[in-house]
Amino acid sequence: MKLASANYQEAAANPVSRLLQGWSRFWFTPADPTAIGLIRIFCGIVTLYVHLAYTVDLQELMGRNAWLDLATVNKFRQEVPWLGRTTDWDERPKEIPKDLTDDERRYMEEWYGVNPRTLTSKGLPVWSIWFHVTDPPQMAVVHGIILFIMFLFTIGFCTRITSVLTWMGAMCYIHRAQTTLFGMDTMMNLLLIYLMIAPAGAALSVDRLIKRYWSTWKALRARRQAPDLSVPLPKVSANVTLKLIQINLCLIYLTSGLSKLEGKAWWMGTAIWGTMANAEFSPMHIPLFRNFLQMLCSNRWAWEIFMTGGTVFTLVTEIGFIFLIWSRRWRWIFLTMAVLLHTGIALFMGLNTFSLFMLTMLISFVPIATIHQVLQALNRGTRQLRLEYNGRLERQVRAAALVHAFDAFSQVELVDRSAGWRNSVDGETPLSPQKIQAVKTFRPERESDDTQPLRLFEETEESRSGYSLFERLVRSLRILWPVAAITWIPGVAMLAKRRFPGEINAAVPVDRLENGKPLAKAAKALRK
Amino acid sequence: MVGNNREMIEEEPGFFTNPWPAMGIALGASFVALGLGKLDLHGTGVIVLLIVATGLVAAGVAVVIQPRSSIVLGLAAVVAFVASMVGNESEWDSGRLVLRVLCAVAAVSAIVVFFSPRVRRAVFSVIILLHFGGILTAVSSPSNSWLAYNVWVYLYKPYLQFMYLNNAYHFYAPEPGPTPLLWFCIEYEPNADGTRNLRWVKVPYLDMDFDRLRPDETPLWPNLEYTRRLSLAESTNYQAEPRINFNDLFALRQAAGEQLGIPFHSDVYPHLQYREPNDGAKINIQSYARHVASTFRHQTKPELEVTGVKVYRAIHNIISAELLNAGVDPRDPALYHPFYMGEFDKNGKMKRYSRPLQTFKVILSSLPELGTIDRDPFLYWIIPIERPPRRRDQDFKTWLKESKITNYVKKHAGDISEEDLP
Repeated sequence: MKLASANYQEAAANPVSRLLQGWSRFWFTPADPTAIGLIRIFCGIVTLYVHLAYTVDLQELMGRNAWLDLATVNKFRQEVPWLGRTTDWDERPKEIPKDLTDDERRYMEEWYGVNPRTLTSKGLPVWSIWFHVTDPPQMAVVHGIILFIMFLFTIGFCTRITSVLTWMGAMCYIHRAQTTLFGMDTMMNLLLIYLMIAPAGAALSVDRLIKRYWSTWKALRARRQAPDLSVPLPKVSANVTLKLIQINLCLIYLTSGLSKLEGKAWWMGTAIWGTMANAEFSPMHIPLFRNFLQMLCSNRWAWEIFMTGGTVFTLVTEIGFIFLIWSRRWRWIFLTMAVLLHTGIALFMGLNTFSLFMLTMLISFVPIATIHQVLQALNRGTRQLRLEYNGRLERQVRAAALVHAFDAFSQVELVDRSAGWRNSVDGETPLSPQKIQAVKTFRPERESDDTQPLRLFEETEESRSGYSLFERLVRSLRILWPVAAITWIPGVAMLAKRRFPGEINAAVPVDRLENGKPLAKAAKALRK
Repeated sequence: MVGNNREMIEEEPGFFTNPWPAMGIALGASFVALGLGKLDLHGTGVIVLLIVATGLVAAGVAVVIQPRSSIVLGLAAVVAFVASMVGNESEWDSGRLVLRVLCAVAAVSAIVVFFSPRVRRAVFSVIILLHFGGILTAVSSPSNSWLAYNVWVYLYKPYLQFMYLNNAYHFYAPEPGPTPLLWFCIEYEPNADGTRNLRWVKVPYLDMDFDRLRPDETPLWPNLEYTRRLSLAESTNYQAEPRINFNDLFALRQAAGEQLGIPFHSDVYPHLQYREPNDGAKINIQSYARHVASTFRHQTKPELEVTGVKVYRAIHNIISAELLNAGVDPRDPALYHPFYMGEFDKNGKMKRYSRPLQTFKVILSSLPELGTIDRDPFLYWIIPIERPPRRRDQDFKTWLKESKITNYVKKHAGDISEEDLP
């Protein structure tokens, strides 16, 4: 014991060991992948939008005769010269040899006199399907497929595959139309790269729904309690990805902030004006914004305070971020500052998609408990429900498993009616709390239990089956609200009730047992 | 022990557990595609492509099912390699590049997963350090630091360019600058009476209400496409040192200006009025001129052939607070500094320029023996749009109101229409 303690102390005292332990702890501690799931959704939505926007200009930006046409882009990727810098002090261009071949002469002419014998390499290792598919109808089909893959990635379907395909798809556009790129493309690419490494489908995804359904179905079929899958298992790869995003974001801010210090306008406090009064970027088409600028200009003090304040705010946020974001005390302050910065960039400079990607990256710094709280507040419905199913009927088990899969915030309690019946008859001691609940709650059915449909109970004991059950369920589980929209369409309910007849039973007294005795209400009803 | 627990946490029962059917499909598809490719049958190109794609996706599925199996990863590498060999080597070269990179990644992963978690973590740590090392070389402005530049060129360039990670993150640094725009003056075949047919195309184009429009004056939507056009113009804004003696360029510009009545810009130092784009930007401009010539027909006589495209890179300077307060419009024409980028034919070749030297009555120090000038004297110089200088006794607002802007760009382009630029 003493020896172990001594070893530990020795290891703790050794700075290299401490460094390695710290490194390992920083990168390889498992983390909840919910934050990654959230990042995937936001990144996926914006990525999908960015590529949907290409639809309007597919030929103008990616076609054979695009602004940067195929011949030019091929010339760049196959021939562009790269020169290293000399290893001695003489950096003057080398004398052009007289024995150049015809190809070398042609190359010199094409590339404005670059000596082909001094190159370190030629061309660019870039790749794109648009270098090879140039027929407009074929391009439209490929573009459609890429958009569909991006949609699948956004909803988190087959995410391990679609994340890679989404990145590859995005790169096809990036490498093809290199002269139309800006900071947004950089951020999108970074996020997509890191999300390929991440378990991006482990939370808040269709993959997760399928997994929840699959696990629940297996458990219910085996008459076991439905597994608690409300929070996904922590994963090392989730932590690695979050850290990669965090470190990269810190580098972006630091570099961006430090490079600004080279500029006079950032020292003079006038740089913000250069962004706000830039007619091409800022929302000058909005009269309110123009009036605001004019109002600022009409008062020198107001103008100087606003501009200098904005400049200082930008520099402090960008340079201070890397140092203070790791401190719990400062984290929320810097997160708020970064959010304000990007909101300002979106509003005053029109770079909406860039700002959205940066905000998405900032999610990596939000504590996981906060993410869960927000998700719960937004997505957990107020109703508490109980779904009775018959564990002996495969269809009902599947339906119950499906409901459990969508019930991300444990709003619906699953109760196996057949387990309750069996337990009461056999006098078995139920093993799971679910079964205990079943025994407590249900009386043995008088008629055959197998004929009973799925039944959804509310807290008031009002019960529903058939279409009414579906309607109440999709309106209660917020995750299913998009589906619930269908139920509001006039006529849908009428048609669906015909196809799936059911009933709504008002809260009738049942022989609910409490402490082994019938409730007073139930006893009264029985007497009747 | 802790490490083992961590590894165990990673394991979660999946929907599928057997990778071999997918891997079988992947191997089968890749070899079938290889065989079909070798046969080179007419019209099978798309089928072969689909088979290759199916094989690759199937290999991906197998890897997803069992990502820690060396055999699965090794076979995935084989699939990628075989797929990279399909068909004619000269076609789909960039696709082959991707497949060979995928092959290398899968092969290295197959070896790495063979080792203990500790070794795997060490390898991953090295990859993280190399990755951020690469980003740092890109970030530290390779053109400035000898060390960063050479590390970038010799070590990181392929990785960073392949992954598009070579952004320096110098946003709005050192200062938020003015925006470059592209103005094209397309000249079509002349009319029978010799009058010229011109059309201006501005990219991107803001109208007087600051609405963002396409050249045909329909709204440029969505906003992202507008920003992409700003980037397009920005790609011509990279500068190089002049290759010819600047004094000669200056003398030539001065002489030509005097002859044609196009003076220097009165508010900009002469040496700042010349901005030669770098080689990459010059090639981009050629492509843009070609695109414009092939895309934009004359509005009223679409049958006319394009005979030339004059390109101007117009720098739209940001209005100062003082001017805005004085009531100047942020799109005041005098805020634009258009640099002439040359005249191109419809194939994007810069038109040959040839004038006898004596035309300009100028003595050039570096080219004394030349009989002709083969370079447009205005090339890469500002063609001014400006007001006459303010008199000392003149009030600023009065001068602004009363002075008339002279647009030499129109004069230079040979446009005599009433409509004003920009």
